[in-house]
Amino acid sequence: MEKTVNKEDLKKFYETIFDLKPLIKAIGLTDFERREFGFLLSEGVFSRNLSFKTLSDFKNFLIEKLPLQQFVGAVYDQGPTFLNPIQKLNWSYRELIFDVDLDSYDAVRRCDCRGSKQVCEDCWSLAQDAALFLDETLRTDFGFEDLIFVFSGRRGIHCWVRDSVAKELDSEQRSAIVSYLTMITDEKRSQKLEEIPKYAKTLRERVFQKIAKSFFLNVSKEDLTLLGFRPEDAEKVIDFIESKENFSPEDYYRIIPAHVDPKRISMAIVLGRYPRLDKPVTSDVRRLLRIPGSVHSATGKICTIIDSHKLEKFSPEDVPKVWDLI
Amino acid sequence: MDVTRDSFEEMDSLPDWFLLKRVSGLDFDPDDWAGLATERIGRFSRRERWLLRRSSAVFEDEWLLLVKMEFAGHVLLRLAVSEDERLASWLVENEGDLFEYRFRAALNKDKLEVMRFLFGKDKMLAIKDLEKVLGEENILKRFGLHTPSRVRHFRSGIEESSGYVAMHFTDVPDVIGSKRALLYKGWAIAPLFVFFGSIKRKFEALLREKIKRLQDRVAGEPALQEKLKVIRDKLRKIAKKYSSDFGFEPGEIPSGTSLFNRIDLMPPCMQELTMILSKKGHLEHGERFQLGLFLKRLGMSLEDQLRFWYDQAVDNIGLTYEEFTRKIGYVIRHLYGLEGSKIDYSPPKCKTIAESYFCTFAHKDPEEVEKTVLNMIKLRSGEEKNLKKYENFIAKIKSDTVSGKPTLACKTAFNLVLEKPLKHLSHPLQWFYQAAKKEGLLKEKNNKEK
Repeated sequence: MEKTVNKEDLKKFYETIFDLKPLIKAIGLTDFERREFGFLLSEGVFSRNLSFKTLSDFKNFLIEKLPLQQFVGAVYDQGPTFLNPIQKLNWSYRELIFDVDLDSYDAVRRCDCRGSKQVCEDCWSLAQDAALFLDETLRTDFGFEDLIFVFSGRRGIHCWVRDSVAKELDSEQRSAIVSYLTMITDEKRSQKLEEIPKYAKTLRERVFQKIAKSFFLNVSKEDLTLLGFRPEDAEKVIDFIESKENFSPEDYYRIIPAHVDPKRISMAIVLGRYPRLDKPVTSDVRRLLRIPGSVHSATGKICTIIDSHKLEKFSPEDVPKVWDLI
Repeated sequence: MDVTRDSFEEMDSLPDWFLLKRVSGLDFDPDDWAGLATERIGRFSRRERWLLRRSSAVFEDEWLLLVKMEFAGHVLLRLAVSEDERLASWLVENEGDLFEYRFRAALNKDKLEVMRFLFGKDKMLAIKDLEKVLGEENILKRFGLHTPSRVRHFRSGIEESSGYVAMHFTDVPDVIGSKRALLYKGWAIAPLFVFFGSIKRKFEALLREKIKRLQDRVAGEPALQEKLKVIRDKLRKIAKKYSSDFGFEPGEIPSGTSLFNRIDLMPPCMQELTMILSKKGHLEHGERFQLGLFLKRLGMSLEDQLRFWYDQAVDNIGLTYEEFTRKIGYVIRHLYGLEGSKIDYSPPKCKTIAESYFCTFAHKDPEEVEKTVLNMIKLRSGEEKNLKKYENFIAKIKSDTVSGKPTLACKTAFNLVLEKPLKHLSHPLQWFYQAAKKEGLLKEKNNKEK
């Protein structure tokens, strides 16, 4: 039976191990007292509309209540309380958030990983692709600069955009950004695909560059044959991709043989490797998100900030579990 | 009395047709107010769109008088609707359509001035200015974009297309979400016409704000209220006619019937949104707004609507209904004008839906449209029909879909699904109204009409 985090583990964790730095890195110290927090205090008991005057108050609360899950939300004109909940307050701002969760890839994951906890190197590469794609798109297309990526503690990655423009975006604007980034809808069932955008050229080129490269690096010759490649072409294409460090959209157009339906290939690429984002997480300006540095009670792993220069090298396997630390 | 006090913005370079511009000295005799306003109401009720252009035969003082009359008529309507949310929505929609018509017809330099005013000088840039801001050169060339050739409509002389501009992404969410522009360093770069929908919405939002700001002024001046009453009464009559053209007046819905449950009577866009919601448990922000307002106007109460979204949403796992009402209910109450800006919004019309929300015929491929329409026939008749006889209709629907005529395609779909021709279609409520009428669900109204 899978080990789960108990109150004793949490007590030791909050008293001796819990580090506030990742949280501070994500939300800063400004307006801390006006920030909403939420906690799963015990199974089925969720409490939100909480705020803390100081970091010590926050830490003392954790030590006293030993919550199973810890979340952080938006900043309001006053600190939310039970009697003064967020519905009564004026929303001030919230970092722009993206959530990549591997369960959205269940229909295309080729490994045996399913269910809530499992993740392997193979399927983790999908989350890595998504993070790298997000990083470049948010920087190049939207001009954002202050991004952090966080391992959720189970099978996903959160991206926090901390630029001041991003923090003030309303729900409609956030929704537009996530729609811009979305090419697959209903990803757990029908996996409906959008056409590769014609006018959003930066995004289009990135699909034919980053996503296509990753697709060909992870595909087998047999898969390519099924998509219409001749076996000898399939082999050549894979060898070419492996040898090519800077793969460009022009390279992509060059490697697709004339007899192969290009639309079929581009759709396979998007379906197989394109990022799958949880839209409501981004659109909802009052959403709570797991606190960086906290422990995920289902896995015991720490919700860890990933060095953005090492996204490609990061592996959930390297993340310590609470039992390794206490 | 100068009716425009504090109503307009100072900006000499703005064109005369732009009604958010400040025009001083609109000191018309109050006895002329009703006439000035009625003229404008009449034009709106006839769905007339008109340009404000000076011909060479018009003398300067005649032109100024004409402009002043136009502005006075407009501002009187603003004042008259300021205390009635529904009339305000009617006015904003009509003035929005007129603005769009004039904007499309305007000279390029006037378009840019209006955009600078609406969005601010820092949020709308010509490409050469964007290149300066970013410190880069040849942005269009680098991305393989060429300046579109100018398209002239010879009959009207209207210049339709006018090169690329850059808008800050925060101001054009609809363009960003639908990937209709090149997005680079936070700037959406596209031919100007791509932004027409966003420009119109911005105009409408500013006008709505200005009308709202007039509320206190009108409330504090009983003499002004009295003068405006005649105009407001006229407006109510027109707006009521307009409203019954497009949907329901409260008395028309027979009590005890839950018409909002009759998905089979809904137009394709609403049927599809309902289905997407029940399948996915979530709708996009704009789509939620579109469906929520539609259901509201079909008579769904706030309580019913809260229950409806609670039952459908998958994004609130673990929430009790009470928690949902407390936490998410804000969005639904907003639709009923009970939160936020307290505006009792009307459901958007087809044109707006096609531009900014979800329209089956504007946003789906012809093959998918065909499937949707055939499903609707099946839903109405409860069985598979011989599809052969529908071939011509389907071909017309698909051809109108491809040629960007969503309303025409929808009209043909109505004819096919309801087996009844429809004269005019410009609002989703109109589809429902006619479908319900065919079913005999609006008997009371029919009797009244007789």
